[in-house]
This record gives sequence, C-alpha cells and structure tokens, in this order.
Amino acid sequence: MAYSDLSLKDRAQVIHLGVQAGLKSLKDIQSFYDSMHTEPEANDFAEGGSIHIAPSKKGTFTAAATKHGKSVQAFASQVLANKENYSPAMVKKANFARNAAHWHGEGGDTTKVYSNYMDAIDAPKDVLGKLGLLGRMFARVQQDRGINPFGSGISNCTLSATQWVDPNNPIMSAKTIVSNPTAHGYIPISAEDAIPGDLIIASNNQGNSFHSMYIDGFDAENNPMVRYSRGAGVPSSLVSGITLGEYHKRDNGKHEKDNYYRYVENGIPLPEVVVTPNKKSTGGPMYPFSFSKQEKPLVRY
Amino acid sequence: MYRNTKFDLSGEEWEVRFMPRVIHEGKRVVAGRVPSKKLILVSTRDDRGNEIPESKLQEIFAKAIAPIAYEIEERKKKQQDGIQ
Repeated sequence: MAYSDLSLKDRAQVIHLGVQAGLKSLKDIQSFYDSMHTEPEANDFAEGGSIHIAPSKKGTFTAAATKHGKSVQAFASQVLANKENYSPAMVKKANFARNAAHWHGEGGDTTKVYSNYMDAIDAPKDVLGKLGLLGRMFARVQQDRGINPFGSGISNCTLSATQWVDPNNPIMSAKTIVSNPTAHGYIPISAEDAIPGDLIIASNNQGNSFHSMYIDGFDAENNPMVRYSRGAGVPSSLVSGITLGEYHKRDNGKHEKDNYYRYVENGIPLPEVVVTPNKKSTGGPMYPFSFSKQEKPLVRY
Repeated sequence: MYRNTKFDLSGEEWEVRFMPRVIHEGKRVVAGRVPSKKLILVSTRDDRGNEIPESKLQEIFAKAIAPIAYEIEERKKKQQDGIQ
C-alpha cells in the first residue's frame, strides 16, 4: 500500500520509522516508504531518471532482506558491495536504506533548550493571612529553594518567570534573573526567535530592568502572549493570557524595551548550581508578597 | 541528547523543539504546536517529571507531525482541485 493510501495512524507509524532513521523530510519518508513497499518495473529506472512506482508491483526491500536471511542494513551492504548482481532498483533502495541509517546523528542543533513553564500562581490569601509575616518570609525562602509550601506556588514577577527545569532541582533564586539573566544560564535571543517558554525582561531605555515574564503562546497575529505577576501586594497580581502589547499598554509606557532570553543547559552546569535565597525578601523591612484571589491552579503533572 | 531540528512537512519547514514541559491552555501535554511559528513542541518529561525515553519521544513526535502533514496535504489537494 502506498503512503498516500495509509490511514493517519499508519502514517504516524511510518513517520516514526522515518524519524528513527534520521529522515528530516516528510517527502523523504514517503519516498522511502514507497520504495520499500512497492517494486518498480524493471525498465522504469533510466539513467538519472526519477522513480516511478508501479502500483501493481508489490514487494519490499525488507522482504528481500528476509529472503536472504539478513537484516535490512546487512542486506543493503551486500547489495552495495555486489551491485552488478542486483537490479538498479534494488541498488537504489539499498542506498536509501544505508543513507537513512547514516543520517541519524548528523546535523541539527544539539543544545538542550529548557522552557520557563512554571506553574507559579499566587498562594491562597486565606492561607497566607494565617501565616503572619515570618511565616510568609519562610514560605518565600522555601519557594526560592524550590520547595512549594502550598502546592500551587507563589508568584511575583520574577518568581513567575523562574523556571524549574526539574521540579526537584530548582536552579536559581528568582531575583537574580531579572538583574543578570546571562549569569544564570540564559542567553539573549531575538524577538523573532522567541518561542513559548522563553523569557522576556522589560526594561527602560536606561537599561534598568523592571519586569520579567515568560511567553506562554502566540496569538493569531504572532504576538507573544505573556504570563507574569505584578507582585508586591497588588490584588489579582498574576496576569496571563494577554499580549505583550497589552502588557505595555497597562504599564503606560514605563517599560520601553523588551529583552528576550532563553535558558540553555550550556549556560550553566546544573549539578553545580547553588540556590540562594532572596536576601532582600528575607531581610528587608517589607516582605514583597502578593496577595491575590485564588486562581484555578494549573494542572501540574 | 535530544535534537532540536527542522522538519520539512510537504514543503513547509517546521521547527521541532524538545522541552521539559509543554503546556497548552493550562494543561500539560506531551506535544503541541504553534502554527503561527510553524513550531512543534515535544515534552521530554512525563507527568511525573521523569525523562521520556528517546524512542518514545520519536513516537510522540511522529504522532504530533502526522496530522499536521495530513492537513497540509489536504490543503494542497483542495488548492489543486480549486485550480482544476
């Protein structure tokens, strides 16, 4: 059966095989599949000509390999070593099988990119109210250390943007990101390159950073949708589902520049990261905590 | 090591990125797409935070791109039918 006749489920399986083989083009996968599952007529391979598949001719390279008691790759090697003994079609298929195996592992960006998807939301007001200032300070430090005392997270602008690459291994104190993101594994990227999970730090033209947020999607016009918290005791401080443009409107032009960052593994060796509590939040006279109405928690794992 | 790469889907180049978490409309999903960016996101960790084996990732990836490829092909077919 030709690729075009396959069900969507079967196509997914074929694509899976193609991806396993390192193919990066659907066209290549289709050609590969068709060449393996249909047998061309003997005269269809003129020198340099394209492959024409005769639907009436069925057969597979795999079947031929099995018939010879060999794996696909072993049979491909045998065919390529003795081309004169096989039809041009078989040689071409053997080449395809060999190349497909070799493509795996070549090219591509091997940088492991992490996202900023963080389920931070403001902690329930009634719970926070019972904690008292010291309790809230303690909770904040715990949060900075990646221990979530409420199961739902606490947010201010930086904490919302803080990522937990691994929920059990927090990588940094939120406060440090906004002031010096590149020291903590973030690399600057262009707005065009930005994708969901990337960080935006808004600043003014003097270079003072004010707000950090992360991209959790794009609207139909390709505008970033951002998620952030206004923090610092502002009710309903967590904001999500608005465009970056709307964010700027709400902030009345206070933030004039958007700086885009992406967290990459190369930027920081994860096992050596030391999580430092936010000194300002633990030692300052006013704990910058945000009280807000409870939002429906995001589904977490 | 996972591979962020580009994939040619019936003439349209889509970027594939592997990330620890992929969230869609507030819910964790194993894969998602951002059509406006021609972007496919595949989660590298399961809902318990464990790394997903690469063979499974390939399967997830294939399941994510198959319907996209199908939609592109259908769209092209309709365009061709319209021309004819």
